[in-house]
Amino acid sequence: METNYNGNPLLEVEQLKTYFPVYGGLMSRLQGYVHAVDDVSLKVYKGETVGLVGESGCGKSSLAKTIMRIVPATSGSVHFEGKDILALKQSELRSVRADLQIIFQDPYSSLDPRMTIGSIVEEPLIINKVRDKEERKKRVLQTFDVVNLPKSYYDRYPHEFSGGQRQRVSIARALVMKPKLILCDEPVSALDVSIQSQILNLLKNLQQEFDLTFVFISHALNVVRHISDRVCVMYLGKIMELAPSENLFDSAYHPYTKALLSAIPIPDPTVKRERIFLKGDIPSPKDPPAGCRFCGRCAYAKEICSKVEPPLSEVSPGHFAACHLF
Amino acid sequence: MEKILEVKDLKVAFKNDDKENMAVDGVSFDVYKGDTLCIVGESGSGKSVTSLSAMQLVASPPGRYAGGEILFEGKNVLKLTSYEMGHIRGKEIAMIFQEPMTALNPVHKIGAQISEALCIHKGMSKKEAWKRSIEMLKMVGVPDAQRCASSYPHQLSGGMRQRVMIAMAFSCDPKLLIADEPTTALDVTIQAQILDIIRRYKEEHGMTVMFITHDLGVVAEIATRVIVMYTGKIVEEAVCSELFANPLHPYTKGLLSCIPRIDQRQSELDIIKGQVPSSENMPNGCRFNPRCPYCMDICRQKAPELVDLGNRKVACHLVNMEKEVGK
Repeated sequence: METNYNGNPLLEVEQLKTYFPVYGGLMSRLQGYVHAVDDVSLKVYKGETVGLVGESGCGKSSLAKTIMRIVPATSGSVHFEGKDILALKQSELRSVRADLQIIFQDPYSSLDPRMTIGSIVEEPLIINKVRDKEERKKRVLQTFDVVNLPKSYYDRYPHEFSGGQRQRVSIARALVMKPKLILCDEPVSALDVSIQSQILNLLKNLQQEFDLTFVFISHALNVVRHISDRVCVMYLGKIMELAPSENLFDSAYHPYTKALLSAIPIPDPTVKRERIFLKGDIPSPKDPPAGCRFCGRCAYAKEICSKVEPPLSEVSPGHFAACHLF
Repeated sequence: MEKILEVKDLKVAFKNDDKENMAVDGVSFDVYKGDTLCIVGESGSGKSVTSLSAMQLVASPPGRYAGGEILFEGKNVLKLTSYEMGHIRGKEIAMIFQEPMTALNPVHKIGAQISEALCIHKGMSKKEAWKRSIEMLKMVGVPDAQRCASSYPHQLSGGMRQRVMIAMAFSCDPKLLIADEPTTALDVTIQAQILDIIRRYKEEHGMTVMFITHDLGVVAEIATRVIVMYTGKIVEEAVCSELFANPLHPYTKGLLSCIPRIDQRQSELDIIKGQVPSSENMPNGCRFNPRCPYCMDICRQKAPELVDLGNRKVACHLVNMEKEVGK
């Protein structure tokens, strides 16, 4: 399906900030804030898949949780179909969440072990006041069918199943309300490679069948390349580069993206590449470096980089990067 | 080539509700001096248990060495007493674990933990050992090694902790390094650094490496030889370049074609249907047969032997038949 990038975005994140307070010391005083998401703006259009990549601590999961209002935002706004999610009342939020679902990384901890598979998938329907019991069961079984779960699983419990099957249950739970947008927070990271490809193919097929929009979070760039139309690279709570998938993987601009790409091992010993080694670790998001967040590890850092923070600017059509070099 | 480790028909069983499951079921392979041998497989393939056995580290009970032997320089390590094992662990064979947080002792300083092996195996004094620990930390690229030595594990990041583990493993110049998924819990940029440290040290000190991973990308990067395991058995063994250029076993083929590639775009991924069977309902015959696209009648009846094809070994009826026809 063609994505219309000129119309209104389905999801619009504007200057979103999520800070977590850090308490410590003898009297548990406020010692500072972890800048998990720091001034992120992003538009997601209907029918596309936006990949969010970055290393641990870059704020990609915090961003997803803030969009879902699982964690409170510090400032900024999130508009979903024109409604400001962050300003909604609890009751209004429920109806919006029917259209906006999330799939979590770990299929072992995200399913209640005391609920049957059937009741796990049914729960969103109850919450959204589908009162007819028969109707609910019918919709649950339909959803089972869509994600290729056998009907016999209805009365069984999560512990009886492997990671791949459980992740299908999570997907079924997200799909049962027929949402418009699904946030996938590392949905395949906990799975074996042979199962990973099954789930990725399933997600792609579902997208075409139900006209879904995905925000796909992962640290595995090969997976993101496979599934995404546009990719957004994050580092220490900020967007470093945002571009159509092909552009990003073939001609990345930002030094961080380049290093990240070169660090991914390719399963082919005949491919020889120049590897860019990054020095050091990711700085603590508690007190991020001044200027460009990446300047301490960047091989091309200039004087300006440690002083002025580079804005995210368009370097070629549709391709944005936050770097003083461009 | 000289063999440093020989695994012969190793069987490791785990007791589970009065039933015994074979986690490793008749595995045989050799590790040659100077090699980097990679063992790949999905969860439940028995790759970690195989590597733990070489250090006699399988918890018993519930685990039990049900058969076979592991010869390290001619000695069967499975028959050694824990006192004798103490001379081998850390000194001759060193190990790096997947999760550095759980492998380090949270109540001791980093320097003291590295020093321990040096004091025991090299007879150093505490002071000498501490100095040497700092040198080791510098060698694995820890900035500000002095401060790191006097800090506790929780004060360090995941990548730093894994460097500490490596410094500890390298401190007594082991002949064999067993690395059990050492980079799985780390970010890719840190993974690249860690792999580079292991590779450089191996070249400089002529160490042999046995590397356990599920990531075929990492395999392509560092392996000289590769063993592919599935449900406790070896399905294929080959030189790294040959395995990737021409995988023979349908499972290996499936694994290679189902990973999304970073350097090219595919519209749909190939899949291996079904899932890894649980130990309770292991299929008869070849264990891969319910998932195999080329499954034949014989595959459901008889388990294929690991057949030596000269420079590589494969356990598959189809490959054997093709070879017969080829003759």
